Amino acid sequence: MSIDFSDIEFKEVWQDQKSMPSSIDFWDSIFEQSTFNTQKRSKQVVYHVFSGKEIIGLSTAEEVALHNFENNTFFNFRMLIHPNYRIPGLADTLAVKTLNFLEELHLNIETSAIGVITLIENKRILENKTTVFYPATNLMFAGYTNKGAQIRLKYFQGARI
Amino acid sequence: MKGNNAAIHLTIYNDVLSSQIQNQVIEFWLQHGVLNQRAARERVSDVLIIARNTENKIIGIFTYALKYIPLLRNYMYLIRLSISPGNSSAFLVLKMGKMAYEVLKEKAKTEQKKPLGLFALIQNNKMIRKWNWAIWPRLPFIYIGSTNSGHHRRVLYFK
Repeated sequence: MSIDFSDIEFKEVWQDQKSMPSSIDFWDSIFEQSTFNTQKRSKQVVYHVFSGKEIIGLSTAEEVALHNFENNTFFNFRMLIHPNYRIPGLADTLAVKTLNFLEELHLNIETSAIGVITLIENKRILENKTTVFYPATNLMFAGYTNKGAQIRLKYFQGARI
Repeated sequence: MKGNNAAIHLTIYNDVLSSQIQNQVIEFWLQHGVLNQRAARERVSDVLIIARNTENKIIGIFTYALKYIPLLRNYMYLIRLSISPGNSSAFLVLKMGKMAYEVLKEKAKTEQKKPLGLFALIQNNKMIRKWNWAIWPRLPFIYIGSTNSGHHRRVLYFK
């Protein structure tokens, strides 16, 4: 499938109830049976990515308090792009837009989260993206979980522990 | 000494310390309860920087050791800084930290087991509370979580 990046649109849908069913439809179109509660996660969607009228990707952020980080709150960041639309630069663009949006929430004191944390489990990403700071997003390597997922994080401006 | 930063003299040690300086270092650690005799003798070979006052007395010691850090599944330079009571100032910490970063960044290029950067375990409760930025502003060590004992893990990766 050939897609022109200029045809791609990003729509911020944070806490937009009307957009929640379309997020669930998107997951249902990809997973035969999802391993997470799509209803719950639809409330955490930050951006929809469109090609024409079709959603081809989305990002989510869930506020979590982390025991190992002095119980500070982070946004657990995830994103998913439809396998047919994995075009170069799309994931980075979605990630940057999402992280910038979440940082704005922090700067406007609309969240207690001090940063973004994400777990990398995809072997291809682990093998190919090995810099301690990801170039586009600046997500920083912070170790591994007991289950072997790589921890990446980025603090918001002025964050304190 | 606090507030008289110009009077602090820092020396980098790239080679084995003379026995005279080794004894001074060990005495410093014992005097201030930093280490016991045995641990002090073991760590004396890790000394990188010594800070002295105008009377040539040691007021701070910076050590490093190449260690595998299981959390990071990589090698890092584990760094430790001990400063005598009354001499602890942001200036001294920053000065020694920046100096050590530059020296160790070059040293890392010669290591077989390539360290990613500096790794520090902050145990001083006062420092944990006072220096509580997620990323320290002038010496950008980044907080990557706490140990079960409440000590802060911080890293400064090489650029």
